[in-house]
Amino acid sequence: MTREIRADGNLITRVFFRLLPIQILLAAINAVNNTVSSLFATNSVGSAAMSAIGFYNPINTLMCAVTGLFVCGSQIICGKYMGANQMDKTENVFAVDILSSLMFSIFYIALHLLAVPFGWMGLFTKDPEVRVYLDQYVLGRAIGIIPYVLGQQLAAFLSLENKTIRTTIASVAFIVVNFITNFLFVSQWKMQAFGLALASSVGLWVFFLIELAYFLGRKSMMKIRFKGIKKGDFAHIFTTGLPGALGDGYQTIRGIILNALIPVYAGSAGMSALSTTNSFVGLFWTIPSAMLVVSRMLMSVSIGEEDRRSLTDVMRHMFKWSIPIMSVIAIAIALLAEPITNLYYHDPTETVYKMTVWGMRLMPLVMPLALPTMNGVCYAQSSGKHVLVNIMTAFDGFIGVCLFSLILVPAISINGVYWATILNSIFADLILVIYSIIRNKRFPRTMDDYMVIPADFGVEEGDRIDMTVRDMEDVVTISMKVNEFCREKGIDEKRAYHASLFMEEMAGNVVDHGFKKDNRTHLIDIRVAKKNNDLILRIKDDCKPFDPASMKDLFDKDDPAKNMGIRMIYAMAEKVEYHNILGLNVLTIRV
Amino acid sequence: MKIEKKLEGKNLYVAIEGRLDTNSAPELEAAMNPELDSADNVVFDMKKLDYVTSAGLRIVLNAKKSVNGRGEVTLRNVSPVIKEVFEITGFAAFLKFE
Repeated sequence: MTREIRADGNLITRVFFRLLPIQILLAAINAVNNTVSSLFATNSVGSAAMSAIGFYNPINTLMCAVTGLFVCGSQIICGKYMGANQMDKTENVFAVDILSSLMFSIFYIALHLLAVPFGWMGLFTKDPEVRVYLDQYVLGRAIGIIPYVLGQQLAAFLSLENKTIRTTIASVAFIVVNFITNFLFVSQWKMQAFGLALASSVGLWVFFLIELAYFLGRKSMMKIRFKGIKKGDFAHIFTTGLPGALGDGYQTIRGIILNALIPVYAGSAGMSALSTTNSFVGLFWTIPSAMLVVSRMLMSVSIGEEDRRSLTDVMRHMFKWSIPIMSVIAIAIALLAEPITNLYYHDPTETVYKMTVWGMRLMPLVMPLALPTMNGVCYAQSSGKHVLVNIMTAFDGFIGVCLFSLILVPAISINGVYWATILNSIFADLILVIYSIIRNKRFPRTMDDYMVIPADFGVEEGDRIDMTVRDMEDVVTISMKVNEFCREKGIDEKRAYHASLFMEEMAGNVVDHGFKKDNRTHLIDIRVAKKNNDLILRIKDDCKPFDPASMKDLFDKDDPAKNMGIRMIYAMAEKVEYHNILGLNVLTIRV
Repeated sequence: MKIEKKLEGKNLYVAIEGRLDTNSAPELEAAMNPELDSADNVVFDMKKLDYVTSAGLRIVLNAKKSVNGRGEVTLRNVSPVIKEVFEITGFAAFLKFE
């Protein structure tokens, strides 16, 4: 009688929390850059320079949107290819992504350089003083376009390879260099708006070059590979990443509509209160945004692996961890609404003060409420559900908030916008449930139902086993279970023996060596799947990177038993593949 | 796993039944140790052995090292599936099969 061992999804949770801090750091870089630039602009140049930065914002937003489109599209596609062990295709997508980003950068630089002599910036402002600063700023920012656009792509691929230390060094270097160059160019050398832009650009070059050094070195798993590129690769990246960029576009339309509505019913106090609330709560939005990037990587890899269990574990993790964490943060901000408002406004009798307090009480609640929709859309985007993605992006981007605001703002002033944003999130979450009910023709009872995972995705429950190993005793138990499973599925004695043996040798090796290499506790997720006539074993662990292929040919005459397990597997298995994906060792053995 | 052993003169006979895996290999090693030094030949009967891993192979290798120069290690009634494991690892070259 073997003891019961099940997969518990803890490996996904561990990977999630290991990947999250670096994504928060990456998301915070822009915020730090904006804050430092604003500080130097207002203190060392003047309010006209600050206005110039404000007028440049839409140009910057467009660059961020296109960059985000490439990042999101290529990350989803590469994640899927990595999960499916198709490294050559991953490298093709990497090459297409870098090439497209470079071409877009050159095009955007050309626009920047032409904008000044042809006087295009006059479209943004007629104020001659601001115009001078804006022209200076545009030229300075042109220098930083390549490192920004390409740096973001490299950061995304570094995340897939889990190179957190390098990204951290690059991010910290950016922040330090940005501050020093602002001080030198703007405060000391009085280079005005050009100095402000140049400071950002120099910082971005440092960030980019630190990342690039990794890809130029031999250690990178990802190489730029042009051989095998297909015509459709660019279109694939573009269409996969487009909904995210469209979302940014919708947000702009939503901003324009609200800008027209709020002054009428809530006055300038309402505008100030909303913008103050958004800027403060926006700092915390980096957390759910980073959570989404991690979910996106995990989901796309799970889709590539055709691993239904891990895919649903990502969504389970969101309900179990992400929503509670964001709820605690939201409630803390809501409870501290008055002291937070005091940082900006000091007279509690003022209308703007009261409006801001309500903003700080209500708007943070949107963060946990938005998570199901963010993750749901992310899965829909990764799995190619284009209609749902477009409906959700339009509703969540602007239809919901604008519709509810039009109803509520005339009645309850600025609070109408706050409630509209909350109602928007709740309704968007409900749309996903309704979609699931329509598609499944019943209320969702399982995570598979809720996510509307197609019935033919991956391997059916009866044809696979998922288990988690914690110690050597589990290894032996699982090896026996693998044998039982094979016999139940009618697999011949020899393959059943091999499957059981490979599992015990490899998982045992990880427990013996990997578990002891550091002082952390580790897990191994095991999956055995029978698909058609193939029997596939997958061993996934969170220990230090270890490619067993490096040991398969090492034969020690004095100790023939050394590396025996690994040699056995490579000699007897039909195919053995190793990849390190998102910092996890993933070994796939075809028996 | 079940182990039956007997020492006849300088020959140690060991019959193994069931699974010889990571957990049970130390048990076999402990069972053989007292007699191993006094044996010149070791004969493993693997008729009822269903499964062997590298941990089990190490025990056989230790037996071979122990009798080296004095005698040999023989494996009897080895199933084809298990024999393949000995062959692939190169162990078959220094063992005798009956």
